[in-house]
Amino acid sequence: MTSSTWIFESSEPLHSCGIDAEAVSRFEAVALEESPMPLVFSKEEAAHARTAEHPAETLCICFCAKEAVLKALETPYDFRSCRLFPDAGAGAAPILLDDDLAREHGVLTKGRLEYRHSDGGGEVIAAAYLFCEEDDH
Amino acid sequence: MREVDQETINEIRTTVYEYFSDECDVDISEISDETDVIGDLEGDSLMLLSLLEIFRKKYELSIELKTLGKHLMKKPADTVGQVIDLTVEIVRHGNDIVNVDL
Repeated sequence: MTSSTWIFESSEPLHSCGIDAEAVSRFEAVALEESPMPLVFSKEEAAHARTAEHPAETLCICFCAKEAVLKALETPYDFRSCRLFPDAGAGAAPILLDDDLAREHGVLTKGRLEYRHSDGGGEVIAAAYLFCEEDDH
Repeated sequence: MREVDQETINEIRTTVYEYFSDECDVDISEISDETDVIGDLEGDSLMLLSLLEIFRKKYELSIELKTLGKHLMKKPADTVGQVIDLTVEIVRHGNDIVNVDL
């Protein structure tokens, strides 16, 4: 078992957070498809991943983020209403929620994803942070 | 509501068994309707989503993840048999599955 410490600071009040981990290899075949997992990834996300240096890793990061958001929201939602366009090596990316989804859960439309790789590099570990208005906290 | 005949149900059953056998590297003879997807096969949400995509393409299904998630909260699909039953219900009702009495 591995352990990892995450330290996160933000000027906006934290509403909730969630984590997830997936193996990049599980997205290798999906990344070759013209429209990978259309219930999960929007056309824009698919296009972003297709042009990325590491398409499978990019899809893996996006999937982890969407699963982490699911855990943060604690209720099912349409994965395509949460959009991400990460650069595989950046380690962080904005989480863009549709207005309706954000309003339904009382969170801001812009959250934050932080991710890193396991020691061997084959697995992505992601943490999603969702924020709320100051008054709601 | 779409009519689902026995041939389609058998087709769904075969696809689910073969999928879990391949993905989980388990001999198909070791899988039964009572096999627990997570506990016995170490399955996860990505597998279920991939399986759903297979059926969505095959039967041109109209289903949203939010709808499916809400249905699963009321009626979980923990075993292989429950996954088959869920798939039959999705093929039968599509996105209206949320209105199905459980």
